[in-house]
This record gives sequence, C-alpha cells and structure tokens, in this order.
Amino acid sequence: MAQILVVDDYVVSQRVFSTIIRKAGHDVLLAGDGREALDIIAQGGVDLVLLDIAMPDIDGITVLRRVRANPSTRGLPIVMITASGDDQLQAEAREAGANAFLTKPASSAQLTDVLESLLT
Amino acid sequence: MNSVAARSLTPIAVIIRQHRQELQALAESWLAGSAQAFGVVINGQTLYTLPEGAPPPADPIIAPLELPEPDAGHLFAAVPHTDAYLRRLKTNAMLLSRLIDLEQQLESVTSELVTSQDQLLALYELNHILRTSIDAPGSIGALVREIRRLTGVSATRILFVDPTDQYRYVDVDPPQPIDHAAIDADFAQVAERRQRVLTAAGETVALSVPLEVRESITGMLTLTKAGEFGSPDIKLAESLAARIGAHLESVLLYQETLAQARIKLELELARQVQSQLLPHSPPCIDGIDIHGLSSPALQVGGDFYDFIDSAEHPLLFAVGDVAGKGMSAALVMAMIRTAIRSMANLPAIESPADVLNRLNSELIADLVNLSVFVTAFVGQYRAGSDQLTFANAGHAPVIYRPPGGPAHVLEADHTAIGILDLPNFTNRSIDLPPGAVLIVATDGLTEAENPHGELFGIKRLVASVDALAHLPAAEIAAALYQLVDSFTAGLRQSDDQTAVVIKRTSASTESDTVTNQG
Repeated sequence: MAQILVVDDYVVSQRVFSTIIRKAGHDVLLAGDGREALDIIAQGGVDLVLLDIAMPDIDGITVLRRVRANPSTRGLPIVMITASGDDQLQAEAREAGANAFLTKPASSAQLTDVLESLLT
Repeated sequence: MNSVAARSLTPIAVIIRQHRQELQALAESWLAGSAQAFGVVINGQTLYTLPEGAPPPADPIIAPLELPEPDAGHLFAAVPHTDAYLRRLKTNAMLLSRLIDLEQQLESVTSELVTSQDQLLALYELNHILRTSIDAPGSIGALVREIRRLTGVSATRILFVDPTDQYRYVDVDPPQPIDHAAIDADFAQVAERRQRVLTAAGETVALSVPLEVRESITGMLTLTKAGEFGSPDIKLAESLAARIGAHLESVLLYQETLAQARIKLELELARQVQSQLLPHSPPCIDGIDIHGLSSPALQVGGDFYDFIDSAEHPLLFAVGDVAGKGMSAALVMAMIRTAIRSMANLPAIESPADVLNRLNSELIADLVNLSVFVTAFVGQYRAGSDQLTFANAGHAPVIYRPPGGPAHVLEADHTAIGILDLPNFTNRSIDLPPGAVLIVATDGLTEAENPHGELFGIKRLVASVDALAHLPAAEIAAALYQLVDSFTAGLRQSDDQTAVVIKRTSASTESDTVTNQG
C-alpha cells in the first residue's frame, strides 16, 4: 500500500480521486493548495503525488518545479492532472519533470493504470 | 453497473484521521476543564487520544458511538462521573456519530459518481468505436470489451447474424469457449419474444436483449453476472443494444454502398473494354460512305457492330443485337463479335450467309444453354461495286432507300442465331446506285419511348431516313440519334441503340432491286 498525496483545490476532485485510489488499495493524503502540498511532501512518507495544475497561489507546475529542484524529493513520482484542453500545458508539465499526465475526467482504469505503472 | 451493495464505505479510521483537527479542538475543550484525557476508541482500538500517547485512563466516563454494524466504538473522557459530564460526552458522541454517518454517505455518493464517470468515459470510447469501425467483426470484438467495462458485468457476448448472407458473428469478453447450441436456444427465445430474456444458471444470471437491424431481430447482446439485473441495468443494456443495432445497420449500408461502388467501377471498366471492341473509325471504301454508332442502355450492352476490312476479302460488316441487356448480354456480344471476326478470315467463308451458318452451328449449343439468341445482319461490299450482298438472321430494323426514295423496310427472312440448328441462312443482294442509303439499326431506336408511352416506331424511322438521305452517312446517323433523343424528351434510354449507315457515293448503272441468291 502506497501513500498518495492528492493535491486539488476542487473538493469534488479530491473526493473522486481519493475514492479511486483507496479502492485500488492505497492510502490518501489530501492538500487543497500548492503550499500545503509542499509542506506535506517535505514531511516525507509520500510515495506519489497526484497534482492538479490550476490552483490559486502556487500552481501545480510551480509545485512540480520546486519538488524537482529539491534533491530530497527530486525522484518523487508526480502525475499532473488538468481540466484544461490546452495541449501546451502537457508539454510544459513534461518539460518540468512530470512522470505522467491525465486530463479530467480520468477513469478509474486510467488512474489506476498510471499509479501502478509508477509505483512498481 | 451501479449497485448499492457493491459500494465501498470509508473505513472509520480514515474518517477519524481526516477530522483530526476537529477532534483536537474537542479534546482541548475537555482538557481545558477538569478532564485528564479524551479519546476515541473504534473496534477496541484507540484511534485518537489527548494527551497523545497517554495510557488509557483507569475509570473514564464513556459515551457509545452510533455506528453501523459490525463497527462499534465510544468516546471517553477522564473526568469525575457526573451527569453533566456524561450528557456533554453523549452529545459529543452523537455529533461524531452523525459526522461519521455523513462522511460514509458522502463516500457512497462519491463512489457512485466515480462509477457514473467511468460509465461516461466508457460511453465516449464506445461511441468512438461505433463512429470509427466500419466492419461488423471488428466492431463487435471491440464492443463486447467496452460494454463489459461500461457495465461491470462478468461477461459480455454479442451474436449478430448478417441479414445479407446469414453469416454468424459471435464474440465474447472475456474470451471463453462458445457454446453455439446454447446461444441458438437463447436467440430463438429473444427473436420470438422480440424483447429481453433473463436466464439463470446457478448463481449467475444472463440478460439477453435483442439487436434489431432493418426491423428484424438479427442478434442479441448478452450480459452475465452474479446476482440480479435491476431496471437501470436493463435500461442500459437495451439502450446499448439499440445503439449497436443502429451501428450494424450503418455498417451494412456502408458495405452495400462499397459493393455497389465496386460493381459500378467494374461496369465502367467493362464499358471501356466494350467500347474498345467497337470500331474506332469507319473504313475508307471506294464507292460507299459508311458510319456506325452504338449507345448502350446501361454501362454495357448486347448491341454490336463491326467493320472487317482486309486485303483478302471485300468489306464485311455486321450489326447484331443480343437478347437482354447489361453484363450478360455484353459477354455474349463479345463472344459473337470475336467469332464473326475469326470466321471472316477463314478461306472457306466467302459470303455473309457462310458467316451466319458457321456462327450458328458453332455457337448454338452455348446460346441454347444460356437461353440467349442473337439477331445479326452481315453485309458484304466489294469496293466500287453497285451491289451489296447480305444475310439477315432475324435482325430488324433494316431500311433501304433507293436514290429517289422512298425508303422502305427490308424484312428479315431467317431466324436469329441460336434458335435452329440448321444451316439455312442465304445471301441476298441489293442494288446500291449512287445516293442509295442502307441503314441497319437495332430495335432500341424504333422502341424508344416518349413520356406518353408512344414508341418512335418503324414509320418514323423510315420517314426520318427519307428526310435525312441527302446527308453524309455520319450525319444521317447523328441526326437519327438526335431525332430519337428529342422524341424521348430526356426519358432514360431503355434499350441499347445501334445503327450502321451505308450511303453509295460514286456513279453506277445498276437498278434498284433486291435479288434472292439462295
């Protein structure tokens, strides 16, 4: 069982992702914004981050860049998620070091497949 | 498929963890008073306590939580046993129980939302398959997989019997041996009732819904799972079956359109081949001006004409009409045309009657087998001559016009090729003085019909020849076609139309007579 941090300012998305992840047998931590996400990651124990891009204050791409810039968290698997139809965002996220990219809504199978591929 | 029984409730431990801050505020309020400790115990395990890590108090007051079975738990507070503390703790326990209940309900709703979202995404995928797949086997294979994903059942199966060729397509997901006899038995029921059929086998239930294509039951969608199918499941299955039916109908239509396009292409190629079989230009023969035209009713037809001009023989020309239209007539036409060409070069063949007798004796067996006959007119003209020799195997119309007119019909005096196995064709001769015109046409011209149902007819044709006789052969042929075309006023041509026009051009002293030569 892995510890997965779900970072999303939209509570419905938090709930949906948490449900899918728990059904897949993993534990969930929740963060409602980028700053809270960075705090939780800094405490350690997170195995994978599901990170929404569009968030107030510190957005997902910024969080991603900071995690990658920190030697202790550089290798943390991060899956970026977005509800945007902008293909440029995916390129930007990949460039910043995202391991995978999902668009909302993501099916249980899509999310589970991505998690399993990154956690094994 | 959605099922309340299948939902996963959030473990209470997770809910307690999620609301740690609220519990801390509650615990601090107890400890701010006279409480030594406050905590939550679920299923015998202390999930939260303040002070953190404190050992269980010796004699706390306890208020049970109202939790769904089999879970059990309580709040405790290490305070003096007073009614006021107990009431306060019970109130806290009631609120926490309510919070846990709401969280579980919310989780249940979220779980259903996830299921709906998964179904929606599977529907997108299903639509993609239905939109992009254009062959029945390919789409059925993909559909059973996606429908199983969409519905969450243990197995999906589609049976489709192609109404055009009765070919059976059966696909199952997950792959497993197919019991065709059992499928046939289920399908017989579905087809007879024209509605869903539920069959139980042990713990599993199979729901079969009909696939309707072109208003006939041509297959069924079968979903299998343990337990019952509720009305939402049945509605979804029926909706999917309707969509699959519409898709299969589109696939059939596409395949038919494709087949028609192929046939059209083949017919066009056949038309090009057949047009190559007709003379590209009339021969230049001293003494006559000769021209031929042919227009098939379909892309290809059974009419033909040919000019066989060689140094060894006088000009031989032929006009024929194979009974029937279309591809079969065109194939026979090609056979006849080739046979006439071959015979024309045989040393033993010296006259039109020789050609027809040989043609009839060699092809009658084939033509009888095909139930086809061919009318044919074969003419022979020696350059500069004032006579033309011909033999007529049941061919009409043939119009002859002497130089001063009037034009009249030369009736056929023998049966068509392929009727009698007798060498009874004879030659006839016609005088061909300058200005004389001979027109050998096919009945597609005389039987051309106008919007009132009237035929162009032999009288109009004869009168037209009189009116056009002063023109060169090519112009006579073109004008005849023009007259027939104007007569039909744009109605679709119903039969092949062919005409060969021969006009005598140089001086001659022969008279205008027709002579039988036996």
